[in-house]
Amino acid sequence: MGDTLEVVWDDALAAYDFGAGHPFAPVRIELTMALARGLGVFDAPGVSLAVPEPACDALLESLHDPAYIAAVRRAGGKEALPDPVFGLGTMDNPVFAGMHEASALVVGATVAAASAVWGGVAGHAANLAGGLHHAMPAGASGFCVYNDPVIAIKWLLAHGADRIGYVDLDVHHSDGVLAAFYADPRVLTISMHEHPRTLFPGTGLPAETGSGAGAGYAVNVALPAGTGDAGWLRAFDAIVPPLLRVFRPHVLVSQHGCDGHRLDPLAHLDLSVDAMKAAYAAVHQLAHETAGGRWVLTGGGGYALVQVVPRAWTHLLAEAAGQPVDPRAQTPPAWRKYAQARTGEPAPEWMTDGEPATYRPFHEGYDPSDHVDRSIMATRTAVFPHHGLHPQP
Amino acid sequence: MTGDVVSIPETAGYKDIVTMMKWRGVSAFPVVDAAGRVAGVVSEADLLVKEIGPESFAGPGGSMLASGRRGERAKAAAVTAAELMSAPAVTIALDASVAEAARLMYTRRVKRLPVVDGTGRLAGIVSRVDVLSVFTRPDDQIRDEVLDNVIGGEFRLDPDAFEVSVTSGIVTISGLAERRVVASELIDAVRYLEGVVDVRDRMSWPPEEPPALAGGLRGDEGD
Repeated sequence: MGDTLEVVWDDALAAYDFGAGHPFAPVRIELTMALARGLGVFDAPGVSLAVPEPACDALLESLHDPAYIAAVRRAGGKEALPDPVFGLGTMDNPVFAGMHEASALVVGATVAAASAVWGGVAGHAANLAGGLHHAMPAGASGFCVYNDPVIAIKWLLAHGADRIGYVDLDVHHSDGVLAAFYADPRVLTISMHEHPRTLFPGTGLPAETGSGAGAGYAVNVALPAGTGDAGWLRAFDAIVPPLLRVFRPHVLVSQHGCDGHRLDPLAHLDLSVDAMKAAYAAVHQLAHETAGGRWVLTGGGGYALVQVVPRAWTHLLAEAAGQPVDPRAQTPPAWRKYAQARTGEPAPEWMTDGEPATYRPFHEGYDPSDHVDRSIMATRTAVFPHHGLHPQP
Repeated sequence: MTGDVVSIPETAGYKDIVTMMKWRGVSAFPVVDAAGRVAGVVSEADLLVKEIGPESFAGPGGSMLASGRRGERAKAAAVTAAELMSAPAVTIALDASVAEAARLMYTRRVKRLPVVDGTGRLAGIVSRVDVLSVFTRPDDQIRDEVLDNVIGGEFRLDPDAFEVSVTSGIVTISGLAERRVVASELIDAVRYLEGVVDVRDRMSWPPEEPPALAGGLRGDEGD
């Protein structure tokens, strides 16, 4: 049986818009959808499109304080009221008209994806507008207003899922999600990110492993600034598969922020789309191996709007659809024209950055003088014993 | 001192500074105010983005936009020489000596000193390299001075009776002096020559009768 993928999308998701000049621009998803369409990703058998409904207040309140939701409504209403106490109206999170409705729709889309997977409608489901992992119960943060991954995971737990695996590959620490489930052993949260010493939000050290019954279920991989493909893939290989194989989630939820790319203006990692593509394949394989194929995927960060995001996430959708894009493929000329007309930026010609995306598997042994290996060992040492795994390769 | 010194105005931007450094192949500039007086010094080290500390992105109120390549570039682009420079500048007067310059560099831990005239206007710049070059006197020049001026001139001894070699300012001297005290004074004289870093004493002298002491005690035989 081939992969089935539900892509949750509506043009209305583009209303999540912080305004001209803000890096989190909806055009990146429009370009992604156009590129995926142009390469025939949506024509693959088993791919369906679904239109989301905005999340109602009761659903939002599974995480967010009612006072915060009211503040978001005011911020996005006629009065356009900033509220710095709730993180609204800052440089990171400017207020915009319809802020509540747009944010609620993003949540609705991720919950729709979770519902499709849990209900057996599709094996995999994607919301590229989601992955807003910094939002907190009573505050917007890092361009995130309502935390769709958290709300979707809580929805799954409420609907009978006992164990959720969450893998977050955004270059920024997934602070909102790890905090929400910090004491909950039902949700294994794994965040691979640039070291907090050099990047927002300044949290995400290996020692942050969870509390109470949840100790050992928060997994932080903090990689040095400048880490490239080989180190990043090696870290993934060293940490994610062993934990998921032991945890065996009912559903795998993943966040695929692509801001770790070398061209991304907001961070300092040195990745290629080729490495990201390899990671998508790895997550896909793990969803089948450990979670019965039940896989909910979201977007996230990614601020090289034309050069990186569309190619990365087209690869992601294609992988989930069971028809990976040939890296030697060219982007359609019509798409390049559209991208240039839309943004003024020349668009990339190839679906590859030309990188081999190879790495040395961690089980072959590690080098204590290598900074990436030290990061890997710090995480394994902190977390593996909780799962009956040995930190040493 | 180098009189051909390039300075930059307080208002120069980050990009201008970087361009000048690349073009002139130097790692620092004195920064001057509108009147040409030295206000500070900006160096490569000042340009490194050290000022993006975790306080801008970590903790409550931390900003995602402030951290990462874009935030750092934006912050860097906004600064001028006046904000980047180390001020006030440690300067030295035109008529100060090399020794004073060296001492100032050491105590104030700076690698270069803008040289200023009586009104505080930039006249040149002296760097550590300039000061240290006083000590890098050619070895053969030192050797000639030891043989001709010290051994032959000051001590009126035959230079051919001594072997002198100099390597990187380290003088090795061997030969037979008529008395131990002569050998000792000769070594001292060589030690204080300009450019001499160290002296290896390989001098010899004839054995001496110890002076007669009350009680028949013998004195030291020598070092």
